[in-house]
Amino acid sequence: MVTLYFIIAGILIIALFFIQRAVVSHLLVFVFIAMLGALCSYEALHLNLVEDSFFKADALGVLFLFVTLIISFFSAIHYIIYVNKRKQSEESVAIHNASFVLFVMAISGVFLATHIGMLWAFLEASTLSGAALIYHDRDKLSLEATWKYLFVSSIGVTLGFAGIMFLSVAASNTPNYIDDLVNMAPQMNTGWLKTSFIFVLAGFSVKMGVVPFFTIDIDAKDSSPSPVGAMFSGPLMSVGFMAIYRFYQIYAHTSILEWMNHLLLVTGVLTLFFAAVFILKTNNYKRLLAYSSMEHAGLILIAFSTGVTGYLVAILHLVLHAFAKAGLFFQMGQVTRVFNSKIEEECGGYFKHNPVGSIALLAGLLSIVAMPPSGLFMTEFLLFKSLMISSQWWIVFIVMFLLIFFVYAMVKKFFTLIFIENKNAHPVEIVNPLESLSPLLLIGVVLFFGVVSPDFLINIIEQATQVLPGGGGVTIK
Amino acid sequence: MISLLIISFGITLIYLSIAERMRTYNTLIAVQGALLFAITYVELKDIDVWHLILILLETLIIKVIVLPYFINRLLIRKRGGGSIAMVVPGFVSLTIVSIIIFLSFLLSYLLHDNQIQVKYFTGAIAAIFTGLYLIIVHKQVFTHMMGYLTIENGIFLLSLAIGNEMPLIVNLAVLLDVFSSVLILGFFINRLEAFSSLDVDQLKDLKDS
Repeated sequence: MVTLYFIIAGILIIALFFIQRAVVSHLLVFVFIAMLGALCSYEALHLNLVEDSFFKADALGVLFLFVTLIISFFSAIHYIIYVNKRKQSEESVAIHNASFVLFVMAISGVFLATHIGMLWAFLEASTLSGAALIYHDRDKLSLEATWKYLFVSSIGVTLGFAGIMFLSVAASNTPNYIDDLVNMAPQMNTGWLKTSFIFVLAGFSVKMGVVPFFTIDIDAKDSSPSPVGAMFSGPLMSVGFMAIYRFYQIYAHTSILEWMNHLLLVTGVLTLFFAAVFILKTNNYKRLLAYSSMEHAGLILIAFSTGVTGYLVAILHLVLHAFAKAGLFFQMGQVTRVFNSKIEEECGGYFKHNPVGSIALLAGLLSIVAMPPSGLFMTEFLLFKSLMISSQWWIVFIVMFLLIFFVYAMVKKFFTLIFIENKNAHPVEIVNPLESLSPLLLIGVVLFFGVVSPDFLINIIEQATQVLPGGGGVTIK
Repeated sequence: MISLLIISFGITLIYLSIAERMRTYNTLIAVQGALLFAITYVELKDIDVWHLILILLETLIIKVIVLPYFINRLLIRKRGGGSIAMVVPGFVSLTIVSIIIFLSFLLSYLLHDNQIQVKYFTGAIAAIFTGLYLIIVHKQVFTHMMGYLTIENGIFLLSLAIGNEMPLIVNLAVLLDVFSSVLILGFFINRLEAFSSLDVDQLKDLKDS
């Protein structure tokens, strides 16, 4: 099934590249998404089945595939609106749609790869296709962002490859299949494993949007169309997490587990710190959302570093954040269209121009700053509980202190946008309220899971974390 | 024989640190590719034939012929060889890269792991850090791309140092990715020039306020 999926996706990419009629091009994208849906269903029914020796869908892979499917579907719809309003050339639509399919295909490959060399190849493919998506508007800013993204990502992914090489040293002649490496891990030289993990974490940070290579991620989300920003904040962040997780999964069975957790904790706190500094400075709404994604990426690493319950919390937080942030990016795309700007000084009084969209923004704000009834409130609460149980009081205080900056920045800037009239804000378009349906739906899911415990989701995550030491033995239901 | 080839590879790193023209950079990267081809042939001639063909294809065709030709045609020719402004004096760069090579040798020797070959490992680590150094000290996007290619060559040498074979399909995918990334980087360098200069100091429009 996986090979068939890649072959058909490959044919569609070639076809999309040459088809200049926008209607047919969009239709083919939905054909691809339907195929992705079929793949998700097949893999969910055949968990842990090794296919073509390089692919295996474990619970986490299937979960992320479903998240990608849902966000890709809405992203494709919002892209049609985006190009129709901007009267984009059919050539740029063709390039975007071909790159979009390649991007989603590469992401699926990362989730399903069971050979780390293959995982790397798909990661690099996601960089190349991601660059084409960022360059959509063909202006100076998108070119700058594309160049930075492509160059720094390539460096990051290359450093990640060095990490794979160091793992190969530790693994002697063991083939680089994840299952084999997990079995072999206890006998590996821990010095090489530590070196490998440092390179992997630094290199793949570019995909997750954490320290050290976080800046290009912010520029990419700012300069690309909003539907692309949604893909970068949701599925691509999951890709970065998955790449780091696969190595963690191998090394967790050695004595460096605690050391890795410390490293993840430090990386998470530093990410949170830098995001807090920059979020206060920015006057650009898309960058605001990008820094907020960075904040959540930091929280995910901190949660993961606490182990056992933290594994569940981190993955659940990642999934819920993907939905909330995708919804916000879609809605912010409308704001940009209404005011023909994404700068704070040129926007204001949004409620008067688009009440439904404003409600979506307010619901999104509630979700993303983790206020009850947001599902993210539940995960952040459990994160603090995990930290307190492990007596990491300093971290609790630091994280709480830094979170205040995010809540302040987000609430202040969103309220200014929605309620404060601005004489420099000149609305140029009236948006159809129906366009806010998908953001409301995605954000609604996050709010719903704050009220009703997402048991089926937690079951899947519990199944996914069974491969980690102490995982599977606890629940957060 | 291998030692001679690795030493030659190290010399290309030193030359890279003091090069002042785009054409010189491109030639040095092509020479590195040729050296990697020779090293691969001497070291891996006993592996299965398809693997050997693929790796030789990567080094000889891609690294020695296609990429240098492409870079020359797309980026260098119309700039008449293209001079590169030196941010750090050549003597300082020369000293730093020499120190990098010496420390790489020291590190490889001290690690003393049966799994790695000291000669390759020295060349690999030196190339990775020289590439990073070129990216950090230079302000032109062209030199950044050359730094990236140097890192890529270092990673290639690292895979030889470790000797853990990847399956053919994975090698093919990695080759395709690396090749595409360089082509796309070249394409965007050309585009950048249409908007601004190739100086990274000009790429500062994306900011928070």
